[in-house]
Amino acid sequence: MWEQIAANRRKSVVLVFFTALLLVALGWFGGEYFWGRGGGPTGVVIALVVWLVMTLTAWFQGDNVMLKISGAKKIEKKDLPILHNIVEEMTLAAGLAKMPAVYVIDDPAPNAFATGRRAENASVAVTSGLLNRLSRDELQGVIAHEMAHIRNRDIQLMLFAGVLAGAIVILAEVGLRGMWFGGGRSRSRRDGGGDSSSIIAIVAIVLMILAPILARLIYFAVSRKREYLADASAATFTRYPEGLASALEKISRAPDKLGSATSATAPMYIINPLKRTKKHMAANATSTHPPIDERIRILRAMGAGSFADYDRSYREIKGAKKGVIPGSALKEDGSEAAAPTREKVSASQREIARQVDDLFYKKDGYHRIECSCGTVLKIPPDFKADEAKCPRCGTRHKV
Amino acid sequence: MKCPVCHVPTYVVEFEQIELDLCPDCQGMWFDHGELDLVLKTTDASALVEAETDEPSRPCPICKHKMNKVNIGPGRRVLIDSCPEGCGLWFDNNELADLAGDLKADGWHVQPGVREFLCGMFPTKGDE
Amino acid sequence: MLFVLILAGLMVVVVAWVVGMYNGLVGLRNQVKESWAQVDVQLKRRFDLIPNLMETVKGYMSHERETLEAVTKARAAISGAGGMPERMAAEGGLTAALGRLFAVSESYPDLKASTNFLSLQEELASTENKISFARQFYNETVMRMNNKVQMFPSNIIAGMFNFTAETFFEVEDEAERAAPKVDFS
Repeated sequence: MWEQIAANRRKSVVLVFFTALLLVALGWFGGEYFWGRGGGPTGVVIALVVWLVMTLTAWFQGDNVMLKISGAKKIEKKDLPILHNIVEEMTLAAGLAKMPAVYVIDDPAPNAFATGRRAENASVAVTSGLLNRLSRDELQGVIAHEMAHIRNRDIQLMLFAGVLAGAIVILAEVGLRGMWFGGGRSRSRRDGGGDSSSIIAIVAIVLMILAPILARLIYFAVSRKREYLADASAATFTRYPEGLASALEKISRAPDKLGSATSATAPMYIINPLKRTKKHMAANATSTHPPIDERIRILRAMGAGSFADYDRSYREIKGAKKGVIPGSALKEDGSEAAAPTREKVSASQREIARQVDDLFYKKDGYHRIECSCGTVLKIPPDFKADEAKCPRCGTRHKV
Repeated sequence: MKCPVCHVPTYVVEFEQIELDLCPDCQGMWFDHGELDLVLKTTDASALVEAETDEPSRPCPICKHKMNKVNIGPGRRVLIDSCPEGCGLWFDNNELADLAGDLKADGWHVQPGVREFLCGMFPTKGDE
Repeated sequence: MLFVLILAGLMVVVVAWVVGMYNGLVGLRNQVKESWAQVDVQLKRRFDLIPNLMETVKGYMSHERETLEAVTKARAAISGAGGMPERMAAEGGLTAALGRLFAVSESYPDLKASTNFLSLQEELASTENKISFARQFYNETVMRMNNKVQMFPSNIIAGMFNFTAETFFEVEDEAERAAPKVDFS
């Protein structure tokens, strides 16, 4: 398990280095193209400044921004005791020193993500659609998956990788637009560049088209691997892979597309928030997540909840020779060290759903009327009629 | 949420931990996906049956897709609107009470608590 | 001269290795302590929740005096427990007694309708979960520690500096089976 974290760091270094090379090359040739011979260093400096600013912003503001654009609301234990309890349970199972902050997003699409700079001040966010659909065990599986992203340091890795890819995409786009309006080409002709400048022009164009694609591909490949690892870790936390499997099944059947997700934030979610997942989707090079059917099948076939079980199941389902779990993680979990029993908790789906609804009714300014017959009427702030009728006893309540 | 028939804001009624949205004008009722599951999880796999009808189709109040006309309940006598994307179900005025009546008469197997909810919600209809 | 240099180099390598091993062992021992503390926090939390629970249920469950007394007794046994094995047995006893109480509570609809009882039930059931998840992590940490202490070559260093194997937190099967299994779905 500790090996994974180390493997993660190595991978992030290689990844950052390779993508950074792309960025530098893009800056150099873009500079040469737009400012004629000798413009390369200027281009590189511009590229690095863009990247640096984006990285610093992401590093210091990334979690806040992500929580803000998704409209997440921070909750305390008294707001949603069950969700809070589940997060606390998974914090203990993952052995994290500090419990992440818990956020809820008012969105009918079921999804969840984790974010944060360090494992010690991370945040977990879930949508109200998720809370409305899942049972406690399923919710536990989802939270375990997010907790695994935090514990495996995936958040930081994906943050850096995402920012690098983002910087390349932005620079390439600006560059291509500049070319479209004929910015550099005519100028370099006036300078009398000849052959070498036309070679530079070709390389610059090719780079501007290919670099963003390449950067994204690297990013997606890493992202997919992290998903498998997080699923495996989640199973070792809960020792109950069926919880996550059945949650994924429910989530994938749900119709809604998440309103606030963008391609930059997509890999943070438990399932890809941008794609309809109803149909079976093959894993292709441009998806951030492995196909959900496959994830479910692996979880269902693994039996008990150890890394070795997941690895075996992964190889069987994928027909692959090589597993997805790093070698020493497999060695470490081999023991039979007292797998705890799972106790069913008395929270029905309905209780969770009600807690969530009440939370948002309060936030949205609904007016509560308690009818003497036992029903409760909740009147929205934009309600037009003067009175609301209780459908049970027929009493008309003035609004 | 706005009523798919009258387009006015609806209000929420909670009873026995189940919630539905109610239109103040036409008294139609909406069940969200989650509530719907709780209400109508029957052992009968074909709980909803596509229906042939001339009633005009309505947009789903959540996703705005055209809703399907389906029959529900024992004998499939009640005609309601169902969102094809699974957002929920729309019952026109009295349709839910009809379903409650049907459920009371027939031994249709529904999620525990649902019969209590529907029959409790429409006490007079059910006791007739 | 060359021989001396090689010897010195070898010494440096050995010392670095010993220091690394030693620090690793100390780190693990601290982690074992830390993860035990987490288990302990949850056990105490459960201990503290019980008077509240008894207060809530006694009005409804006056016919179940035996079940209620068993919980009170099991709780008292924890405060009275001397050593670690005794404490663990007492904690297991409390888990079992609570399980019976929640099983019996199923036949009291009034009690189940009380929001106060429901939130206490979730609280206790979740605490029960937290105990087992904290225990799971504690046992994992103990296993890594014990592997280091017993396996070659780290066992040499462990022996030199008196690092000993830690004990797993096992729970007896009977207590496990009787743990609260309450489902409202």
